[in-house]
Amino acid sequence: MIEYVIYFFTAFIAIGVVGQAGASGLLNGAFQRGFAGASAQIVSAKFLFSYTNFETFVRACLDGSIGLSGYVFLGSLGFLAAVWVNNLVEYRQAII
Amino acid sequence: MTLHVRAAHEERVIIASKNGPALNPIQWNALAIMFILVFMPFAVAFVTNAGSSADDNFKDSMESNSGGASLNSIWLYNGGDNLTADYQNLNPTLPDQFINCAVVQDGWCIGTQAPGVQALPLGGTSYAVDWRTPAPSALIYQSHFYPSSPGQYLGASGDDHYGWLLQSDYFPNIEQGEALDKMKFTFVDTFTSYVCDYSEFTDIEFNGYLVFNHDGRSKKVDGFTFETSNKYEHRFWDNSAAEFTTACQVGFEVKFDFAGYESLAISSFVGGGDWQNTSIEVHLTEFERADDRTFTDTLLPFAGDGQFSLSIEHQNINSITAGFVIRTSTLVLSVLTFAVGIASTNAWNPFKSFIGGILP
Repeated sequence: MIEYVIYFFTAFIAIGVVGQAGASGLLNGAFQRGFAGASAQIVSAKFLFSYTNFETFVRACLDGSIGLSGYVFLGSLGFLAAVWVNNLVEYRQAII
Repeated sequence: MTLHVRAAHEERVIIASKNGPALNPIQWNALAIMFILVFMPFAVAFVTNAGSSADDNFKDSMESNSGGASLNSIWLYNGGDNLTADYQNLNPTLPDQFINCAVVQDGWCIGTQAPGVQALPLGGTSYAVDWRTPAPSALIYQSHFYPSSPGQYLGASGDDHYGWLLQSDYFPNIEQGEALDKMKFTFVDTFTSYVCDYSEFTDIEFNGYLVFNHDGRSKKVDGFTFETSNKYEHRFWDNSAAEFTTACQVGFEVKFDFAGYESLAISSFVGGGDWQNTSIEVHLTEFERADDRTFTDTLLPFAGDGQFSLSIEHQNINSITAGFVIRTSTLVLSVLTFAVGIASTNAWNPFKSFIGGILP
């Protein structure tokens, strides 16, 4: 479950970056955009899964190992994700 | 309404500076990615490692008891290969309850399904002595001790799953109330020594997990991967020469290093460190050779028809300090994440004020 959320989130950010790059005149070809977007998504998701303990920390928050603080963190993370997804849809950038 | 918001946004999206726009939309996205991929992992690493020790100052979990205390354990899984028929052919007169233990799954011998033969847990009780391995250790029967007569081991037990259930008398030195930071299990076949450049020593990789059983409930702590050699070089007491000698034997150390919050969760689960009423399952799974050759008869300390030595060590954590640091820093991280969320909207723009202020 958490894996899918991270995949979704990193994919969304990759789409935003590539979209902006395209709007700025970079990565003009569809292949280039696709390749850049897929690479950005794979690298960032792989980084979060393999080289950091972000996923296990989120999982620990979810199963109550960190108590109330863990649930508060999940709430904040969910809020941040919702804001960024909305911004990416509306404005094509995460921070406006 | 959307048009209005977009128009308002268009006015705010570019930070003005003396030399023109300071940050464009791509750079704002880059800032967001940096928050997720740089700041957040560091912050989480700090939180998860709070209270953990960086050194390996382990304490013996087992008692040094050269008198030979009997310890309670059973095999849960013995490799995964089903060699029942081969052992039956080798030992046609061996009773079914022994042949049955050619395959152990979840603590039950299931090699044969002969009616009337009750499945038996494969017992592994033995002695706690400290001269075989650097730390006090116990002798446990190897994977095919029961179905194989001496010298008839078929050379392999499998690469799938090995597991043991260890009752609390295996770790009497873990004090009541202690929270564990790390556990180290050392598996060595102390009965056979090799020259240290023996060609069958090789690097291996496998996964592992622990299960803590307390008060009728179980807690699994998983996600551990190990890369090690099956060569264990150490000084041990050579009985025949009556002296300590350096030996290369089949074996390895398996170190389970818990994150700070895992230590607290385990301690809480076992009744605040009620180790006298806790049993621990050790599971090692999915063995592979680092050189990618088939695993088949790769030497493992617990695979065979004799006995192997198991020693257990642990390192504890100050649960009160760690708990305070973990919960407080998680709360701080939550506030910061929430603030970044607000700052990502039009409602509050501290980034732009800050960055706009420092840029020329």
